[in-house]
Amino acid sequence: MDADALRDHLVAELGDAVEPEVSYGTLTVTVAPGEWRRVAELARRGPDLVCNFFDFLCGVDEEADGIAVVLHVYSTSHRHHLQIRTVVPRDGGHVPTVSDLWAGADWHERETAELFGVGFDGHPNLAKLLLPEEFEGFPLRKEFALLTREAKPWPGAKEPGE
Amino acid sequence: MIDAARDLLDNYWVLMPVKVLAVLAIFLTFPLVVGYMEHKVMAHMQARLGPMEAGRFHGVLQLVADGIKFVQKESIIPKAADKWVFALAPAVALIPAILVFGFIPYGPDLVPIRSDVGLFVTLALSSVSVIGVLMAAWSSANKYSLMGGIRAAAQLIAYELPLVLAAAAVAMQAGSADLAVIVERQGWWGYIVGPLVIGFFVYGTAALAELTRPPFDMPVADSELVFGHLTEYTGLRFAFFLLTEYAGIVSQSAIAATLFLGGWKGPFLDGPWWLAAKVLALSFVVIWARSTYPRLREDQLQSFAWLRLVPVSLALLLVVGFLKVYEVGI
Amino acid sequence: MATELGQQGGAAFQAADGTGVGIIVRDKADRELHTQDMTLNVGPQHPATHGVLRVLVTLDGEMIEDAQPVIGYMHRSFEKLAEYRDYRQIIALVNRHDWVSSICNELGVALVVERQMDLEVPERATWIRMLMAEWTRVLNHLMFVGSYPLELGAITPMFYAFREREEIQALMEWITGGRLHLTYCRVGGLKQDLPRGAIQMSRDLVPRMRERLKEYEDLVLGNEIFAARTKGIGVLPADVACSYGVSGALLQAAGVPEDSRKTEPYLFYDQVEFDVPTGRNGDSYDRYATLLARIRESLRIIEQVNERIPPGPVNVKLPKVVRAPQGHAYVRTEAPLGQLSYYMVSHNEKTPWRFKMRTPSFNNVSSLPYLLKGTLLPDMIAVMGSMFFIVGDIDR
Repeated sequence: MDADALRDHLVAELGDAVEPEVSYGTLTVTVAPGEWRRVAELARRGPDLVCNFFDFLCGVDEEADGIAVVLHVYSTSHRHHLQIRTVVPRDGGHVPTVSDLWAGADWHERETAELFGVGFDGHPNLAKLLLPEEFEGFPLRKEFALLTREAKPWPGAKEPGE
Repeated sequence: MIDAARDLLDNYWVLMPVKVLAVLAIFLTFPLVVGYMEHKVMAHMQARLGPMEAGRFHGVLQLVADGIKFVQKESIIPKAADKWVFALAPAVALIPAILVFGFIPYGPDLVPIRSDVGLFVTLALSSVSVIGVLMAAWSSANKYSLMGGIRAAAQLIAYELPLVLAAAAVAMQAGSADLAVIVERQGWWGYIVGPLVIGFFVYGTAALAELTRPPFDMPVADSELVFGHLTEYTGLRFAFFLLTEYAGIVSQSAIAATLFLGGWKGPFLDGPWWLAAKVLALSFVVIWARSTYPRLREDQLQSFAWLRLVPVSLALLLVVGFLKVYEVGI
Repeated sequence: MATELGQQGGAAFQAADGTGVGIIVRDKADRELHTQDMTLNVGPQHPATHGVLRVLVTLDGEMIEDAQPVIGYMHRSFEKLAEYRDYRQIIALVNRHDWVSSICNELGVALVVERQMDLEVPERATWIRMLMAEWTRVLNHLMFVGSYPLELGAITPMFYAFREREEIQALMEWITGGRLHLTYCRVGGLKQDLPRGAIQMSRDLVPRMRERLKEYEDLVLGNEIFAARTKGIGVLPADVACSYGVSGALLQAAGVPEDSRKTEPYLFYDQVEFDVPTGRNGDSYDRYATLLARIRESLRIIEQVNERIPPGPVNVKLPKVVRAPQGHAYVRTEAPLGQLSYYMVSHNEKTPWRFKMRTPSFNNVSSLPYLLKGTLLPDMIAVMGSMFFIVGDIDR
């Protein structure tokens, strides 16, 4: 299915629960955190979807709105991509885990948890993955300053983008 | 003049130091030659040059330079190590390797230590080195070392049997366990013409395994066990282990040449040079195997020993015995 | 320590395929004797880990009961750094996560920025990008073609692989001026045009590589010990591989012909002929064979690209300040190690808002616990070597 057909299919299946958007050829559906698990299960098991290939799961800082969690999966048989997105509050935001649906989500959820401070309920072992155990803070949030830039100005003649 | 020299040599106290010096000279030159050969042969097999600088001509003095480097290095004993055992292990590995050279017949009358059971003494001595390996493995207080040592011990047990059985077939054929007699009873073509050629291959494989040389180098498997029992060794002690390995190649090649290839005998002009040539040729094969094969897995090695080599060598013993009893000449 | 050894000595010792010879010690009540597990730290400084990957292994004798990769020793937080850099500067940043295939990483960034800015890249630049990406693929694969036998104890292939690599490196150096971090791609095209004689050099190199490839197939794949060590070891079934997001040669070896050059062609991959090699069993042997087959296919592509590079410009004029419009884009490319995708969120600023790197090694290595459970320690090396990973690509 191409992105538009996939969108129609998902809207027919889930109705108002999803908020679809096709951006540069990739379909992203935004769902409420409560619907996260249901949509993920549909993507994994739905007979017309069969998104069996796990691509990535990551966070995006949406500032005042909270933290977006983006899950990208792909179907090797139907050859379509699906991006599922949900926004959780900055403090104590959490979504159910999908690591039982895609084994690869295990590490990606651990990474998102340590870098963005999002909880994943039901994850078998949400320990730190890339960062040392004693690390404090969530480095990929916008309020976490990049220390090298704080301590020392940009070494080039011009600021990035000038 | 010659008679005077002969008389002098008949004196035990003169002859003994001469023998000791000769054996030491052999021990100090041949392993180095084989070590250098390993550098160069492997290099050329691998599309590179190997050492080119030390000693001006094609790096001939590379191993001497290495030796000097090893002497200068700090000798580290890990804190948790069993210090005495750790320090002693290289010696336990090295000394039997030297002693083996005393029993090899280098020429018609050139046998430093002649013994009726020379064959078994050499085989026994060459397996004592493994105790040094085990000591090193145990005392290093390192898990990789320990696993390497256990593998070495398991390998020794598995391969000692086919090794001894193949050698026993030769002893049975020759009717003696005296190495000098074994050589004398062979033609210059040795025993590899006839059923004992199988014994030669069994012996060669088992000797490779005993030397823990590729493809049987699991005890030091560098990509799995870092460097096995050698992991914690530095400086001179490490150099001793390296020397043991090269001495082992030389002595095992010498024993194999004595048992199967006619020792010092040659198509013309019998003498030690034939043995030297055979030893170098066999050492070359050992090096060749190293640059050709990946290593086997420990359990594949065990099943290869017990399921292939042991039955083959037992059958060989039976065949040789049968031929001997019914006097079918080989 | 003494008791530990004593108990080790009685451990059951059997290979995963059941061929091992071993002793299972039982007590009078016919229960298997309890043995104590040993925890072994493989890495971060270990010859088999190609850098600083650490695997925490629980061993029963030499049998692996549990293996947990511990990563992050090389984490440099590229994703954070990218948020502080201009879209054009990211290219110099990403070409070092997988340090043996820099062009393929740069390409992904160039593509994702171009997609968001809706830039049309000159045809010549696209063809040259393909040429460079495929040579990079060969370069990267040769690295593993050499290093995998090395891990199994065969030293020689490494030297031959590097001899071949050196010839390709010479070509890359002639074209880009660099050897490792080439930084040749730019948003909207390339750094510079091909120098004189580069295409001819590339033409001459193809038959030579093809000839040498045959030697690897004969000498390594045909070696009995290599086959004994790798066949049936580390079997990764297709469904498990997909669920872990394992990609590249590993996924293809499991029998899934998934290669974004074929399934979702980018650049001009739809205009060249090539096949996606697949394996049958998904074991280490198949992975290595797939890797060799992938080199062969890359050479096929290079051969066609050599003849099709049209004249013309290699760059488009960019505005003084590069701003990607508000929105998010996803680009998926087939990097040498597997699927490399970049997901970029932009807020119409000079720097990206969020830059997610989905690197192939990260997902590939996350399947290690599945693969290692119940294998022997020597097999762990045989499995890990056939995962074809670069530590920087895991940790980013």
